[in-house]
Amino acid sequence: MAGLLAFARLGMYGLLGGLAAVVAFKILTGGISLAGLLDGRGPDGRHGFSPARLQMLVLSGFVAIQYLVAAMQSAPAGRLPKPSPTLLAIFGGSQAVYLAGKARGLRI
Amino acid sequence: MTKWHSVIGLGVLVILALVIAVYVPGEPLQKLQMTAGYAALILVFGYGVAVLAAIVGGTIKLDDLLEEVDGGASMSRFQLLIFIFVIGFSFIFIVLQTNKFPSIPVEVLTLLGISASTYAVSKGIQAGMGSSSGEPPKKDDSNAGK
Repeated sequence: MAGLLAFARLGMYGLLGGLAAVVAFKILTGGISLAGLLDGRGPDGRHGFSPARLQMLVLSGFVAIQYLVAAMQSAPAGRLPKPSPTLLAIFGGSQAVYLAGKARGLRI
Repeated sequence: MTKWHSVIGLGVLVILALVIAVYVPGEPLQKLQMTAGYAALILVFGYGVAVLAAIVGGTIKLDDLLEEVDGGASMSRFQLLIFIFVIGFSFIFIVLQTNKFPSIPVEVLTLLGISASTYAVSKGIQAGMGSSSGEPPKKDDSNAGK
């Protein structure tokens, strides 16, 4: 049964890693375009740099990395780590700023 | 998937069953369990590899995965993609480390909920902008990511 378990483990890592690698490769080579990721529409209808998007990108990356590190550390305990209420508040606030900017059509 | 893929897959499973039946020591019931386990894994992983191959080959297109209706990449889609991968990786990592399903705290569901809600609200705002300006969406993205 140990062989079966090792095979299952190898297959899961391979599939998930493969999917992540394919998506990352397509993003890096332009197959999935990230052009205009930080551009928003202003009140005049023109597209331009949006600080609201930038702060969301930075904070989302921060929260994602922090969670991933916490998950690696808490793996032996057999449970997913709890994000702290402060982290959730920061994350929610960041998303709210982005949505508010989008709703008002402002490049805030 | 063509009929040849199915025939090859079936052939692999039959050969595997024969190898386990003849060469692996143990009770017949244990051999049957191992054969069933390997067959199920090969089937699942085979489908997974087929999907990955279709993505790489371009049969399943991911080009519009992050695309907004009016062109440009969507920030809400991008962050949702990041968090799906982060939570998914964390979950699979813990399952493979401990060989059991981990408990999922409410806070994790809240995190995913915030991320997914932002995407949903963003789509709503976009639809509202399109209807208020009287302009039809430039592109139908209902098939995006498929």
